[in-house]
Amino acid sequence: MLNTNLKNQTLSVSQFNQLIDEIISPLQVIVEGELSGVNTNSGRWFFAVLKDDQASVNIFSPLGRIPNWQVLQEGMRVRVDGWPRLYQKTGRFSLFARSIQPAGRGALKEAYEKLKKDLEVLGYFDPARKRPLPRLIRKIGLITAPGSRAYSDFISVLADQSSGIKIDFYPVLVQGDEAVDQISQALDFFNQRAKDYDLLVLTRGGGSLEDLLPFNSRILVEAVYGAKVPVLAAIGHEADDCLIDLVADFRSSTPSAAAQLINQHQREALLTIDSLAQRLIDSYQDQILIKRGDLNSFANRLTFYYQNQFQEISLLLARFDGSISSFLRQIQVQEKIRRSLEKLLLSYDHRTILKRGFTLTLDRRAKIITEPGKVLAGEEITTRFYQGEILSEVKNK
Amino acid sequence: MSSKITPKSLSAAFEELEKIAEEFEDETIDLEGGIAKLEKGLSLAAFLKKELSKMENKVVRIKEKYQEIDD
Repeated sequence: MLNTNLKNQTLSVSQFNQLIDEIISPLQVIVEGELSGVNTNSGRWFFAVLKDDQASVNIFSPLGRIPNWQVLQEGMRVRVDGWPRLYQKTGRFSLFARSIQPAGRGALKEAYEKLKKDLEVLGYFDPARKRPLPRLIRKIGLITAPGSRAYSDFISVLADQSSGIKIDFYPVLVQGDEAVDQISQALDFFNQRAKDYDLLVLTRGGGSLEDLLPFNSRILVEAVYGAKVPVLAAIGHEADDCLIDLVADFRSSTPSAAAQLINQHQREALLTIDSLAQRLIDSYQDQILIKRGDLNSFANRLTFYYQNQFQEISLLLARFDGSISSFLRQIQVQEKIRRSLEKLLLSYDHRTILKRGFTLTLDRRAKIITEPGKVLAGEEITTRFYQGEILSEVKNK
Repeated sequence: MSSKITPKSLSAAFEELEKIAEEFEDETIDLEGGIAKLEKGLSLAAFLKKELSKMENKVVRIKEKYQEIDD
């Protein structure tokens, strides 16, 4: 196609760029390579670099042409169907993409592994950041496909138990190019009303790695990571965990299992209420027992006190009693002694002797004469009897 | 007890019940003041149990915008 006439022509830069673009743009190619440098910041264009071990080429496309752009990950092996283009203003060569598709299951798997590793390093799956369920689940935001098996399984299993749960159902597509967008919108919707919801349930039935692309997309992982309400993910799958499973606060293997988990949580809440009520009653009964014990012990102490007092008084009385008897006994003994002494004294009275016939002899000075030498002849002496006296004169001695 | 039941009022009732139970266990309660709290706690428990057990799960569809798609 090269125009040989150009050989001796001088072209302006614009002419040259235009010429080259015209030459290359009819070529329709499919190029396979690894996706890197994905950039959609402008919101209208998809920019990326396609590369292999030795070379790279810029690719671009209007976002509208690449409906699956949200599941295209860095490092993913893709096939780009498009045309080579030269941007005339700068002479920059690139590949205009008509479609970009993952290059087979292997490519998806690789991209999944790479993203999983990256997010893990960033702490997205850290168990420490996962939130607990609220004590009571009152209102759930349900995100799933309308009329799907996942929807009916979840609702019917949840209905096995009346738990007073209100479910706000936000219908979305769970696969295909629009899924990421719709699920993101649903999460946004609940984020804006976060205080009204206790839990978000994001669920769908099983599927292949291709089906589950939205649930392994970085955009959705980040949306779940940033959700203001705890998220329970129940994404049925065949082999590997979905990245949404890993980032969610809770996970269940199926929509039914998710409903069972919620029912069990509510049953536990009911048991907790029962146990709280029982604790109240027990504590109150304990208090009654303690108070009754206090009262008993007070009564016992009082009885003990009075018993003690009574014993002391009895002892005192007993002691007092003893003192009186011993005092009385002493008086009796002393009386006896006194009587004996009196008798003795009586026995020693000279009059008693006189009574028995003895006499006393006294001189003139009424002094008892105890030997004959004390009197002279012719001296008057008095002889005293028990009754009466005789005056005599000593004749001889 | 208020007849208006909202998710928040149930949570608040639950928290109040927990608080009373803790008070009963941690503090020495006087029997007379305690009986009022006991009654309050037990009525909260009964209220919560009733609300959690009797209500049917209710589904409200946020919007009808999307076509059905099964998985």
